[in-house]
Amino acid sequence: MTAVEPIKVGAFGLDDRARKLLSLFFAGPCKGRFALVSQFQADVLIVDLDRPSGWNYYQTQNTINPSRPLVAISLHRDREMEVEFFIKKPMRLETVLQVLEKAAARVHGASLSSKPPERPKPPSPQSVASKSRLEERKEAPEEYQFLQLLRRRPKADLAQIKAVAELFYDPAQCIQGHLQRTIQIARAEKQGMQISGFWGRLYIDPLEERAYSELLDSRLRPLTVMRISQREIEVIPIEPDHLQALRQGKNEAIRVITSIDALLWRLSLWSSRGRLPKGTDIESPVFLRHWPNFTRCLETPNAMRIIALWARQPASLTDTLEALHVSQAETFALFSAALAVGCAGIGRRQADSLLSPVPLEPTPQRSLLKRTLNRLFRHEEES
Amino acid sequence: MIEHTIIFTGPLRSGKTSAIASVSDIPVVSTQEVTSDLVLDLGFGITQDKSATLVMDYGCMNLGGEERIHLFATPGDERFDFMWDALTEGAIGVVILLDNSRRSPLKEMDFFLNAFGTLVEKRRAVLGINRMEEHPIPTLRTYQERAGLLEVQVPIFELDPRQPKDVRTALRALLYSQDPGLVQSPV
Repeated sequence: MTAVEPIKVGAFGLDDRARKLLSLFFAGPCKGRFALVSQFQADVLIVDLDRPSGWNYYQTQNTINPSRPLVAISLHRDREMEVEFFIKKPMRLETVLQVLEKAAARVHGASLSSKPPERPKPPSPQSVASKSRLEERKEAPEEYQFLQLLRRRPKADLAQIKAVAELFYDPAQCIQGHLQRTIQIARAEKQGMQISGFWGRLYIDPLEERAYSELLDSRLRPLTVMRISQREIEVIPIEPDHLQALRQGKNEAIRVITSIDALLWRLSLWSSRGRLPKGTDIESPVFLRHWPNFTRCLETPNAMRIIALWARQPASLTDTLEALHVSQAETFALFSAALAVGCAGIGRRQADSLLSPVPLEPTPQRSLLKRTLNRLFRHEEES
Repeated sequence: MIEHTIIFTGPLRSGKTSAIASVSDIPVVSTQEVTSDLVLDLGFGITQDKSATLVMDYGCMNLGGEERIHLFATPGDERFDFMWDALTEGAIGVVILLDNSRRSPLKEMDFFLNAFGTLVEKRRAVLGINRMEEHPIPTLRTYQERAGLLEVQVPIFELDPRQPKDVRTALRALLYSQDPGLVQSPV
């Protein structure tokens, strides 16, 4: 970002009048220092906490993209709601300017530093191109963020129908579902496809199994909490010349290059947020077709143990929880991603009398395997 | 001294020595030499190579006390396959590395899955595909489908053997495959 470029400010929950006033204020007294943009392009996001779901939206955005400053506005400042930047309503323009300047300082500070303070070390990059590796290093640590998100999901009583109902989400209503359909078309037709919307463009190359994105992950993640209808999406074939340009790195707008599965995996995890795809029977056996590519796909807590269990024999989600003593959120998020990329499927439910917890006998070598595992983790910490 | 073994195998120049170097506690005892006159045609289009692992390369991981794991790279040449059998016995597992830039990596996958079939059947194998960035075809999907046809279920990862994190990920998958109940001890 250059010095003359305005700070991009997005707003959630402001009505048309407030948005217009803000826009005039930015263009006039602020002399173009700030610009009102869509929330997906914003460097700083204003959130009206007095709107229904305002606080939920604030929390979700804070978890999904903690490096982006959020400015909360409200009639009252609730002490329980910890916010970094706050403007009390009615908003006075000079206060707005002061707070936005502070938030902007954090944006500039973050862009100068590659590491956010007091956070675990960022995970290694998931993308394949050196350009994207460079850019992904600047982002907040995704594994840490995702873990925080999962920890906030309360454990549901699976015996309670209402609690179980709240565990589901509909991938078809999310960017995940739209991307899944685009990938299906691309693979079936063996044709490069472009999926685009108000947020930007993604390109799918089924021959090389690569995805090209105009958005950094920090800009993609906020999309996963939104309902996006089919009308807001355009899916069209990519011209051969354009596909070639993408492969040769000649499209300057591309920010991240990754494998198709790694992209879909990541978006599915974030869309799921510890929930299950609508219609999943938690008592039906999950079977594994193949392991996810864990060197390039985000490895969630206990992911390898769960996948290894399903690789040995199909196990229902409830049996998986019992056999491995893992959390619902991490199991359900992993299942959602595995189902989306097609490495896992769900079988027909058997008669209840046939269902039993998966017997998981320790191998005679468990002690040795554990010492080896600990050695590898020590390596991880030392490096 | 209590000693164990993990084998790194694969065709010539598939990254076995680099993979060992990524996780070994000691510098790899390397025996790489220019051996182009000794390279055989295995039927995979191998006709020449600038250098090849002729004798086993070696590294190790110390587990503490008197216990350690030997990391052996097999010679990537079937004339030495008598050594593979000896190494396989009692091994914790095998990491099979393939080079996606070669002419027929899928045939090589078949070959090595078969050669180390005893370990593959016992879920003591993991497959890493090297050089996928520059050579994306065959895709990982193709390898997965091929393994499915062979009714083999081993973890298959894109793997850069120069990246310790990639190699550690493959090794962890090797361990969890054998025992999903395995948990890391609290530090």
